[in-house]
Amino acid sequence: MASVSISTDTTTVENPAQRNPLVIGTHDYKSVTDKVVAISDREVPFAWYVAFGTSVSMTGMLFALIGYLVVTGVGVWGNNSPVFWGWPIVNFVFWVGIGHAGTLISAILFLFRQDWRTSINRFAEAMTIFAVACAGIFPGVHIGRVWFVYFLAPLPVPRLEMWPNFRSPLLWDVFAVSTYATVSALFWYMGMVPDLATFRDRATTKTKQFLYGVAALGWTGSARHWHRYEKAYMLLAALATPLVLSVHTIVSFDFAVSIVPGWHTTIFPPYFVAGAVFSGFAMVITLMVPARKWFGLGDFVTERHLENICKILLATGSMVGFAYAIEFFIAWYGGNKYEGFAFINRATGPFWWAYFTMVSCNVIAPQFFWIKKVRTTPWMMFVISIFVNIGMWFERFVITVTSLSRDFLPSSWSYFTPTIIDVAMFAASFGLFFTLFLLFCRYLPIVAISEVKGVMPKPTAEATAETSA
Amino acid sequence: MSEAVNETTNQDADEATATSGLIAQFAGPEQLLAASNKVREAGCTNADAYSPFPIHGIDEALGIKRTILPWFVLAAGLSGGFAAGMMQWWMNATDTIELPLIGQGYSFLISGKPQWSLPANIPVIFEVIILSSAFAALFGMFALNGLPKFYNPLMKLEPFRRVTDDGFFLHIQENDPGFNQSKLESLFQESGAVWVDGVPVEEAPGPLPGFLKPVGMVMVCLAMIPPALIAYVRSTPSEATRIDIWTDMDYSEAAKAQEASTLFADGRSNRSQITGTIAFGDLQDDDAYFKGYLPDTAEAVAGSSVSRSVQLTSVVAQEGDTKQDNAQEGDNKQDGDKKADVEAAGSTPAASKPSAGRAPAKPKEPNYIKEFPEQVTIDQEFLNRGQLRFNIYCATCHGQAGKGNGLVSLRAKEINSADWLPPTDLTSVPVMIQPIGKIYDTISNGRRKMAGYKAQIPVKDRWAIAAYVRALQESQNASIKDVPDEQRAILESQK
Repeated sequence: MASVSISTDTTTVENPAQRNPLVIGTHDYKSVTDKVVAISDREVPFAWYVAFGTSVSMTGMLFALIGYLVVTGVGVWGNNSPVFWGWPIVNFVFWVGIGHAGTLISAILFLFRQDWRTSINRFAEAMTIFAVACAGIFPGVHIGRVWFVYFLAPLPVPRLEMWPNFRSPLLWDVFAVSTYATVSALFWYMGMVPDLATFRDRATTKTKQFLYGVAALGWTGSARHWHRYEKAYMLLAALATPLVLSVHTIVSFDFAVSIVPGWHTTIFPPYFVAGAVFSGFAMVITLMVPARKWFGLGDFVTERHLENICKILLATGSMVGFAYAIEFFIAWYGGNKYEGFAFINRATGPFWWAYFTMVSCNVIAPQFFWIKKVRTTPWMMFVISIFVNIGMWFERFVITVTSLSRDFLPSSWSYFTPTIIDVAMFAASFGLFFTLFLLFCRYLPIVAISEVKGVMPKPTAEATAETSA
Repeated sequence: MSEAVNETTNQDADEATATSGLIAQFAGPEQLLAASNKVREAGCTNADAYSPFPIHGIDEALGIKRTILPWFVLAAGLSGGFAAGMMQWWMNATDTIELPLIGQGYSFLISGKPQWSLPANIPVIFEVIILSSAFAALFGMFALNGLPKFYNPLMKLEPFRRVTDDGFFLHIQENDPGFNQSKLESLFQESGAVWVDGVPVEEAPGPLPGFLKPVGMVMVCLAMIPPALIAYVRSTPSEATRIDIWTDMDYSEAAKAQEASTLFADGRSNRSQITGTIAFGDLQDDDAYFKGYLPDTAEAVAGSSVSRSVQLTSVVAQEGDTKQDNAQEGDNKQDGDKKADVEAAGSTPAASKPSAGRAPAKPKEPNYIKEFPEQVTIDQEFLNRGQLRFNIYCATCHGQAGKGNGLVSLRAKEINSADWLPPTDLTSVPVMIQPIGKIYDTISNGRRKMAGYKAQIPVKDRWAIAAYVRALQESQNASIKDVPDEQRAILESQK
């Protein structure tokens, strides 16, 4: 076994003469494999059971709450006139936004030839899949008669004898989010096939060998296969890029296509996409900083990787801050008194506290990343990422609830309060997310082994001699 | 590290007879790349390299041609997008084009917006393009790679197990044009191969277990049953109610009369009509037809609601006078003269004899219509209906000829009933000079002691009865001259 040196990570030191290596420590191909396989091969630490038990019980709570909701009705939530869209939609957009970062890392950074993505893309794509799974629950159960959820699809249903309204952004959402879930899953699976083959060849039990073998489809690493595989990977990356942009654009259309003041602005699509990338990368940091420590991935996910993510957070956070300012400007410049009021109301109305949470978390917090020390210290970026997560949830809350609670007709104005079910369902959705994520960490390759091998520095002859059996 | 589970077979002893090619392992990607170049130059066109990650330059080194996968993806994407566009057009912009098994489109009429709005359909088209392209990319790649392929003879070689870890291999098959065992072996040695071996022959798949065929046929037959049942059920009519899983609010139980109800505060399922509402069909907006008079004066409106008791006291006096007149004159007059009286009296209501002090002033009568309303068509059928209804409702008191000698009246006289007011002779002059609207009103609301029959007799039937009353009046006050010729001959012959 190669010695993995946990020396001080110097990857964040800029050296114009030489690029920082993407994998540090004395590694060769075998030690990379060993490291990642060991995560699922080793004896499961007790902490995993504790975390898994907690998240499974929260998932159980989620299903119980969904059952209660379906049996009793949507009235268990705080949604009421005039705020007909409350926490469920906010949660939906929150989770979908988080999902977008994974696809961005997988697809967009691939197209930009950013090789540093290789050690985090598997992890991030998994986050995407599970976030989209959590996201899909909320629109699914908020429709009231959940047993007719198939009405959303263009199916020839004898009872309904009707087809969906393709002019509605709510229907575009159905197609967009389903496509996004499917394509992300396909992309994630395709990326995993070579690594599942690795797991198959390193399986310690017959069951594992069988299951990984079936999943790996008989992959042998043939160059001819790699050729087509790489072509397909590039094609999927090229498809996933407009997909990620279009999906959150369509999610923003849920709001922008309406005429509600504060919603009906053309800035929403790019604003939402930037916000999604922002919140998604924050969640990547939130998950990655502890994970790299607990799974010992510090050699693959170096501080430079984290710093790159923080730079992206800074960039997208600034975009989001800019969008806030422009919204205000356009509301004034456009002269629409309802829109102008909507924005004044956000800052000074009954939800001012939500607005200021949002601004301080989203605009002020990421600006700390200008400081090198902050963006290269894991615990600091972890704290800021938590703030960003909170702030991005509040952004969706502010957008949805303030505009609805006070729109055109003052006699309809009202204050929105969530019920305990609202809060509990949101908290429990994290349970589902972490359940799936912990299972992923336990059983699947959490680092893209073959991709990391492709970008790591060439192993030295002595390291190779040391480790070849 | 951890051992692989399967035992490997040492092929060295058998390589002369049971190999299908050669395989060599190299130390690293550069060595593999160099060897691949040499092998291609030696004439091998179908060599394949195996590595844990794709090696840059290996495609050129081995002569691998560019894959056609992108064309699949393009074709799938375009056809998927086109299909999505057509789907939306058919579903949202048509409602007469019928597809088999699926039905028709359902075009939405939304505030005059165009039926087919291509800009609105773009998001779905876009997503479907991406979805179909992604499927083509992934499954096309698997198909072109021949995956899944769970059996591979190379896996029987122990060193090959490292291929997904850190092993780099080069494999040339025997049927390769440039295959020359000794030449290749020496080439491998030159390139620094770490290990060289023969590849086991790919075993032909064994025969399927015998039981699978009959079991498979049974399963296929069983699988045909559900579609056959469905086809049968869908093509035959049935009187049984459909099985409906989600009835929702489709069927609501009707409440029985007098049943208790939990839905209303008073606990009753009987509900009274809501004030200010009129049930469908109950709007009686034509006064001439529904009431028999036109309320064109305020007094007329007020007069119409005068209670019958007041009518009683006032008109009893009037009746009494006219009856005496008729009694005096009636016997002396010819039948035909009665008619003259009617005509003389014209359409004015019966004149009230000014008898000072005898009776209170008669209330002003409503403006009864003098002609049948336009909704009524008098024909034989109508009169027959009137006769039928008269005999049911009126003849019991007024008699079948309208003379006032119905069975009830005769009985009342027989028992000397104290408060019995004899029914009016409908064929008498006072009734003959009444406007038809008044007769209708009498039938509807009653007159003096006669109750109103509007609850029992529909509006049209009341007019039919009124027409029959006119017929009776005509018939009971006619002379032989009014009889049609054929009938007259019969009557005269019976004299």
